[in-house]
Amino acid sequence: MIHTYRPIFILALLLTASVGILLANLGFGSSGWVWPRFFAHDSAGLLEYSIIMELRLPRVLAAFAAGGLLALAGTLIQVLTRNPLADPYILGISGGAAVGALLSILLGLPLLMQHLGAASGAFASLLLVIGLAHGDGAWTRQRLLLTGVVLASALGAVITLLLALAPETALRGMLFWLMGDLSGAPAPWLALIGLGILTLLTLPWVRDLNILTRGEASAASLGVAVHELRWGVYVLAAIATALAVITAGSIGFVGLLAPHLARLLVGTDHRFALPGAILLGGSLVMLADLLARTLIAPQQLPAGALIALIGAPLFLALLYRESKS
Amino acid sequence: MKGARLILFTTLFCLISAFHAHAAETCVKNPDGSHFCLSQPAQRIISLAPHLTEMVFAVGAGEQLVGVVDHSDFPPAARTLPSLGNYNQPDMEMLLSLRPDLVLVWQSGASPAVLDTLQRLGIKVWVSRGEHIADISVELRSIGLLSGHTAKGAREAENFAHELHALTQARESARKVRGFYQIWPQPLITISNRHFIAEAMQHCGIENIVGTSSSLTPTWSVEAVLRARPELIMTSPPARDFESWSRWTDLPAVKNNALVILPPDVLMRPAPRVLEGIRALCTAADRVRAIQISSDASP
Repeated sequence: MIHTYRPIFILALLLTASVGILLANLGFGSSGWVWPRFFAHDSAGLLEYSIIMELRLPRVLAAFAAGGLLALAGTLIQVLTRNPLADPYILGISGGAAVGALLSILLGLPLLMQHLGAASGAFASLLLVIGLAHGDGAWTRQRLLLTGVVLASALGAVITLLLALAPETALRGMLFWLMGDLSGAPAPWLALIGLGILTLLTLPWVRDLNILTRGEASAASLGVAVHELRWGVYVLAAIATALAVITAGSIGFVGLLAPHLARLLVGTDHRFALPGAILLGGSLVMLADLLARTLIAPQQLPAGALIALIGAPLFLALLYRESKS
Repeated sequence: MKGARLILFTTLFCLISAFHAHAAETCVKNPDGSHFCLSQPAQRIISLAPHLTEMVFAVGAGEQLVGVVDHSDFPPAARTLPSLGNYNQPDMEMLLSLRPDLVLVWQSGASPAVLDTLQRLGIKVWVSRGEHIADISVELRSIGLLSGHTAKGAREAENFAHELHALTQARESARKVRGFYQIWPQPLITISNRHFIAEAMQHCGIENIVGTSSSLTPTWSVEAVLRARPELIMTSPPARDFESWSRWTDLPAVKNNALVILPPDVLMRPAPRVLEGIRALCTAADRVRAIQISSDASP
């Protein structure tokens, strides 16, 4: 019984932490803690209200959604490739999105086109990988990985080229996008609803995923429709990555870190590890964005750069504890 | 790096002065106190920054200019000159083949590798500071001297100082207008007080709400802008998504209808044309002051 209660307890703890970080994000801004004065109808109160409702709330929701989506995609990709080093970006989706977004910045198109550019880049590379890696037999897993990795490095070269060609003024905008930045996160609702739907779609497969971690042959012999599962999982992960990248730029590390953290905390059973990873991913990005906004406020840092700074020590500490016990 | 360059320059200077102690040399004093000398005024000049191209033309040495870099689009005659490409990575082979006897470089725009190569090739390089508005007069004089247009350079320098004074003396004591300058919308990048554009704003009595900061062009928070209630928000083309400020209807700048797109390039280049930019800035500030006065007058 202890084995089922412990993960649930930890999940509840993670949920509480997420809500706590969300509230902190609403309360803290460029001028320290301000008590929300929703019922004051003077102009200062109205300013507070619009700062919280129009700046901080969409931003924190976008942060949670992006983190959650990347954690979900990371978990799926790690099971799919059975490679603990895999993260959502190895499939070249973030590279495609980056090329689309940077190209539209370089051409001086408006912000909306930048998001659309990222979206079309992401989906173009998604289709490209599916198209190129589609095949059958034992080859497929390696082929999927290799196609993604090669596409990602080719796109990386294009990104470097775009950065070299960019005018000075646009360069910092581009770098912030590449590091992951939530300052202009569009429509958090899209990412949030996407996170909800994709999580619901993944849940029925969770038991199959647990079996798949033991190998495709044994999964197939246990009655799992491996082929369908593989493509389904891949498409879900790809869509999750694309949504996250469109929302917050290519935030690194969280897609690799959150799944591992979740497994260390609640175990390898994906019934718990998956929601755990989503909550952890969301919290990490929210926390990183909180620090990015407030550490040297009113100056701003890119949230993406802070995630590894928070996440890596946390991960190493947990890993160390695990190895001792 | 700067120290090393300084030492190099001083050594070079000592060497040159040792060998040519008796020759009539053309020498200018740099802002850091060092001297830069040519044995005779330069006849084949290459400019590695658009503002330096403008200054060379301004002192009447446009004929001596043999090469420029991209974006050297003023005066129109500069467009017909051979371009060496990006200011940061100029085409060195082309540069050599143009046989310059003087290369003008902008301190903040020169890559150390390029400076190093030029030094190794034994090409005379004069580095423009181009950091403050006051540098413009000094550098007009220097470029005039180095190109053999001493009188014209001095005249242009005086004209510039005179016009700047005429334009700004009244405004510097006028009511301060709180202003915010946007370089880039996402992330929101602005300028701190040490920046060239902030200096131009001060000349027009516009107070930069950003103030001093460790960075010349800090990434700023939208919240902080809303709280500081700027009366004037400015940017320069391409003015990407600049209109998105107008959704903050309570912001004085929006109420004043004072979201201003300033003329292109001129405020980015420490050259005499910056006066055009300062004029536009001052006009915008005057308009805000007038609105304030009329709204104070009405009950």
